[in-house]
Amino acid sequence: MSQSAAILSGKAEAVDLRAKLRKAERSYKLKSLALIAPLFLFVLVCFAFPIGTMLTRSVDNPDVHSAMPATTQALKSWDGTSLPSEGTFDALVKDLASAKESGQLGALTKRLSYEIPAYRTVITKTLRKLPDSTATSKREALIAVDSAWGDVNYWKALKQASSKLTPYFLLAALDHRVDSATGSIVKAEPNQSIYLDIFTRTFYIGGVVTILCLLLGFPVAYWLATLPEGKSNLLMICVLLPFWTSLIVRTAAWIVLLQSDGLINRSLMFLGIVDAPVQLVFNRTGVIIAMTHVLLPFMILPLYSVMKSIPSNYVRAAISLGAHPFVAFWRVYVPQTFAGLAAGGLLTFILAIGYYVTPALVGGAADQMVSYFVAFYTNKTVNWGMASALGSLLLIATLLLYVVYGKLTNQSQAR
Amino acid sequence: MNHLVSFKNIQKTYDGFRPVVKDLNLDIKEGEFVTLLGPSGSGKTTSLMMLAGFETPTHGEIFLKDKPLHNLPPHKRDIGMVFQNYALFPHMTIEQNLAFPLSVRKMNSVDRKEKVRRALDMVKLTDFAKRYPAQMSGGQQQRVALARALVFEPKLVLMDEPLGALDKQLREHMQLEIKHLHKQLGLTVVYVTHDQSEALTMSDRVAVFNDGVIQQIDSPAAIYEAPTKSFVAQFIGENNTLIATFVSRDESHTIARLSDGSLIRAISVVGAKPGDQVALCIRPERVVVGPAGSTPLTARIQEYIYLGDHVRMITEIAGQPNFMIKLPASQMDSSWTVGSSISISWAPEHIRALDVTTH
Repeated sequence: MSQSAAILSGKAEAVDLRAKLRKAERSYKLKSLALIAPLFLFVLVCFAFPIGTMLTRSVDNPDVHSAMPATTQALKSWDGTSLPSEGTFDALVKDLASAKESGQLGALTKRLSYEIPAYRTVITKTLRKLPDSTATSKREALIAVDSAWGDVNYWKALKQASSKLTPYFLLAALDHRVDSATGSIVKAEPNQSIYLDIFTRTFYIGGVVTILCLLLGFPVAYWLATLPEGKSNLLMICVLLPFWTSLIVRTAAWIVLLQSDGLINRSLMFLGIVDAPVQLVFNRTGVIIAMTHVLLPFMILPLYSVMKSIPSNYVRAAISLGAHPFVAFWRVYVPQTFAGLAAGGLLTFILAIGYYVTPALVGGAADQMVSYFVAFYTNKTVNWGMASALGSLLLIATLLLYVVYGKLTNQSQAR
Repeated sequence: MNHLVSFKNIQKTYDGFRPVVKDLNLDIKEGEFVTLLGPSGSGKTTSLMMLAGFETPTHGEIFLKDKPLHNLPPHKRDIGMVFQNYALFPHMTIEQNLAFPLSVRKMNSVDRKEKVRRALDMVKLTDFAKRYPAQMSGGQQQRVALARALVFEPKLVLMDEPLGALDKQLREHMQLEIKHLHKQLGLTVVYVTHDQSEALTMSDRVAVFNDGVIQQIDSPAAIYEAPTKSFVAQFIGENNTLIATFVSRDESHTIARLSDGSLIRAISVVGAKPGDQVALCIRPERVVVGPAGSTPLTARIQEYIYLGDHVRMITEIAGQPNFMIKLPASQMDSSWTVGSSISISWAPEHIRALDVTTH
């Protein structure tokens, strides 16, 4: 009896203690939340939300269904094999007339021409001779205006373009499209297939720049890590020096240095190494030179911080065990820098594939990377769907790399 | 010569004017366990690193089996080394760590596996082969480091404060384990430490370093019982120093006078002229206490510390404070209180007249 009472009171005490702990932790949690909140809100409002909305543009498809609500509605019940019903033709006439009034016509024709380029003339022609309400059969009247309205494929394209969401932009960014006749995904026409090439070029330039940064940065980082503190701090400032000037100034400086009668070409000619100036700028060479220079610190810093934490003992131990200094370096030192190599390589590669200013200034037409086309669609043709589709794919590539990196570092931490 | 290692007139300086090691001469016999003991900055680690090949002597020559070492790079010396903090390769398993010295020697994988297995057996870590160093305790890592330094069967093994990072109990256990391996395998060990009890426990000979010079090299018992320098007397164990004036000497003994006029007879170690100062050194446990007035020498008790099995008294003799007396609790007397005087004496062979240091 007394024993069970003791257990009961013990339980009550435990519950009481847990409640106390929760209470104590609650105020701690609230405090940390309050500390995070300003930055969190800032990121949410100024970063996550705008990017999120922008990303939805890659699948968003408002033009047709907002300009042609009645036709969209009517096409929903269409079987897609024969010509649509008389009512659909009625709706089309009505929608075209109101679209003309509300000024949504431009966006509408542009969107439809993505599906079938000839759609533009079909709409203009139809609008000029829009059948009035006296026509008994809108279907016959429209087909009389343009025979395209008697072609099932044009209706299929219209239906496809009228959905609220579309894979059109994302597929186009990968040089594919949905064939409106069959509904299957097919390769885009060769004259429209440019994006896969651009992605390949982007990853190629990113890869070359990353490897160059690694080859140039690794020895520097190693040297810095082995120097005494005072000297390495001074030299670290030199490594960070590029950050003190703006990216555009540095890129412009490269143009001055690399151009045909620039410092480098003149020196080469003066020394008699070349007879005529070498083309170093406004081509791939210039892009790679300038980007490698700009991105070097991002490789050196993570490598340095990892190397700094490796005690010199390890290499000494390996040598004392009979390894030649090169073998000791390769088998004992280098593997321990993998975390820095992964971080530096990833950082450099991700920054490189997103580069815009440097290739735009020192590159030629064939050296422009994905970001250039994002800017092109955003600023020049105002095709936000295409711009955000390219951007999304770039973002996905980056996220995949992060996942790979996470896996790699997790593995090394598990040890 | 049957010396495995000989340091001949070795000098080392890093900056060109401050010597770290001054004129080191040391011969180590095959199978010997020699400890270099000294405070930090005394040159003991530098000496070890010169032997391993990671530092080069500024002057002099080191011989290994009578061959000069100066042109032999460290990876060809075939000297096993255990580092402070073990230096186990963190990206390799224990097995791979042990196989490393064998694989750089191009040993075939069958022999390699066998040797690794035997080395793991030797340090009783057979079940840990697949683990990474970070998954093991300090004591286990220490044993792996030991096994790795021994797996390629070097004749000479160097150890640079290998037990410094372990707690006391583990350290004492490892001291014995290293000692046993030394006996079993017939190794020659050069061991660096600043821990005097470690040096006394393990070594055949202890070389006490200070200021880049070996102050004394001898067996642990001789180092403790018969120090030849007051630095050694003070560095090893507890010691009392009385400063006295040299009066005269006969064959083996020195007579010196304390400031209160009492004459003390001590074993002569240092040469001195009348009027010179000498340091008379005696261990606290060698002091005998009798009733007041029974001997010519009187000490006044400044502090009295009870430690269960023994007592310590800090006393003042002839105006010199901090003279420590250590007595078994059984010889305790209740009349010994702070401020009272006692008579002390010692056997003349336990007090030694040494040089006066500025320490």
